[in-house]
Amino acid sequence: MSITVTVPSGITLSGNPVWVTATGPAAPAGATNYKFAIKIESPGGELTGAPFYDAIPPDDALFARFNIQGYVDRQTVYAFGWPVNNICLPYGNYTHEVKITGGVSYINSNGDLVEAWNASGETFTLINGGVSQRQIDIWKAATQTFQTTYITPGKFLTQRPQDDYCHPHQPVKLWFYNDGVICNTLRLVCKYSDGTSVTSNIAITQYEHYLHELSVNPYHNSIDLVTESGAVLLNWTARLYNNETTVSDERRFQYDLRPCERPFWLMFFNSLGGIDDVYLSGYAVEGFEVEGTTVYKPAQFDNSIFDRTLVTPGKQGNNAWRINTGWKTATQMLHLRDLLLSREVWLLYPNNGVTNYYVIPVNIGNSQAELVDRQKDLWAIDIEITEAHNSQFSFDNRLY
Amino acid sequence: MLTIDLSGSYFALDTAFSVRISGMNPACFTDKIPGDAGLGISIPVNDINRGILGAPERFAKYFPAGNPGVRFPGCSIRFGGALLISGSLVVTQASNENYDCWLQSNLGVMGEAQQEKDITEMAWPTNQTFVAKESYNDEDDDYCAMIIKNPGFWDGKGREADNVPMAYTDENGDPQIKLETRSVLSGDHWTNYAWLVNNKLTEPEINKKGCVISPFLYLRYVIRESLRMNGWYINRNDMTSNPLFPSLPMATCSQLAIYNNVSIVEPEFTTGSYNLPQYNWETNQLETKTENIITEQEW
Repeated sequence: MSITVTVPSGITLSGNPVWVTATGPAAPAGATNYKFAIKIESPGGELTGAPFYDAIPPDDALFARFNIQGYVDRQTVYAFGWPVNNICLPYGNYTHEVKITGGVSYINSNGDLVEAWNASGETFTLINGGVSQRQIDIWKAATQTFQTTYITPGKFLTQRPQDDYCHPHQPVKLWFYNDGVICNTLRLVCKYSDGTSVTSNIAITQYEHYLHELSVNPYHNSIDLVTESGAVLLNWTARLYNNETTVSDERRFQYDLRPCERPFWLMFFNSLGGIDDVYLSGYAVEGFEVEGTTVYKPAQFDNSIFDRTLVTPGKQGNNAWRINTGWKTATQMLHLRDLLLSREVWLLYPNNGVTNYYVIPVNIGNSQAELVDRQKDLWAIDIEITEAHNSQFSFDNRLY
Repeated sequence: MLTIDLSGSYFALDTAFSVRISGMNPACFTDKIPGDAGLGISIPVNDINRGILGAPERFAKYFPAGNPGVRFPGCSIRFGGALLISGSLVVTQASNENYDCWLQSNLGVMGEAQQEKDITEMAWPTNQTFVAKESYNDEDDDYCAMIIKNPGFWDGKGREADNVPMAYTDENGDPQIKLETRSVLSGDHWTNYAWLVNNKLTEPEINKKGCVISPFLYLRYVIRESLRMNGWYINRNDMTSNPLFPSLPMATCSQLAIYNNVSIVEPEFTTGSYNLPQYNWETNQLETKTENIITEQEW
């Protein structure tokens, strides 16, 4: 006996319900406890504890639907290229394959358990990430999926708006998944204040079915931000090509040329499986949160002026910041929703001379933020950030 | 996302819904079979849940003093679709706001059903045909016939006679035999089979007097069948003598069998008349009384 298993087509987000359906024959005569079963395997070994098994009775139409998100969603340690030494970095471990094999199980008329599995299974690929339930419902109504919305049309995996304002030295990242077409060129078209433009074709190496991190800031691609004649680079576009064939969509960025004494950048794991960057150009307040306990130690006869009776055996603290985003457009403010929801965030913290940046894992505090007031033209919010480490020892800023 | 469903019908739960799952390894208990349990389940009363569990007002008649609660089999708790625990949902209390429940795992349901029951009370197959073989193995057979020396098998059974051999161990620890008043069958058992149980199974001498044949069920078979009769099936059995898995630590236990003191050999008795001289004190005369006695027995 074999059943027909249908898995999601194309790339799927592991943070949303992952539906697998099964259809098959009716229960044999005299059988009880008849169920459709699936075996969930991880060919690459990324899922700890795999293979998993699940079985549910089919409905009257001999149809069963499994949600396997709890089995296939996994915690991955993320990182990004910093400092920016490579324009294109491939990541094979940010996606993983899952194989689903269908089968039936029942107790036959002799009281013996019978399990029969299909000879082969169906495989599909998952990316960590997810979209809101509203997005899922919109896609379902339009017969769309993550694959047809982002992967097939070659969209970069980001929700950042077009014409996003960036600091001239900001590590501007775009993430792209190769679904069969290998790109060999990153093309940056840069526009200057004097009306001229420069096109730079940067050779890159990509791998099929890999997630790739692209650093698309012209500053990191050896493109002059100021020409010899004094013209200033104002904005640029980034796009991927395979020779002269366009593969990806085109993203536009603007430079925010307003002076900023200490620019901060927040890198965060976005909802679509990539890592975005946000420029915080506003003022920053740096704090330190300490907590500890106090216990009483009785005074001894030989105590000196240096001994104490109230002791703090465990004191821990972590850095905290309140950083203003700086004036942003409405679309930039709405992009901050993804930042506020992200569970993997890093602060690029400048040293005293703003010549180097430290990567600090941070957590964004809970908030009720007013992002866009339509009676205004520009918007800004304060973001409460705490370091994602708690320690009884301090960090020596002087060394870096 | 944590969900509870009853045979595919999902309950509508509070956003702060939580459940405490308690795990119990039945291998750590010798007096009961505890199962996992989902504790502290509070399901709000609303139109959706009322349609699944029924109106809470109707539960009152199911909660007389001492009643453990109303059971709903086919319940499962999942997180993101991944099964955490399944079994029977037991509703212990129902009010206008909540159904207070706990989830008893399928193993716990079985354990409760089998609690304080003798294993012999299960529906074991009867009238099985014994197959005499030179050797038995746990892979192909459900029972074995180990040869055991049991001098006391027939003690207290049947007619006794003097000078029947009796085995004992002397003060030097050496086995010895002495003659005592014992069951005649014990003497036959010694004479024909040297007090051995399950001896000479494949030989024609099996039908001599005092023969004892006791099939011993393999422990592996008993465990497998006990579970199967309760709807549980062994996925991997390390108690195997399969030569492919010689290094499994439980492999040596594959030869364990459950001993019993029952012989499946039934003697067939032949009766006949016997004239027994008897003195009649009333008539002061010697008379002959005819009685029916067992004259022959075939094994």
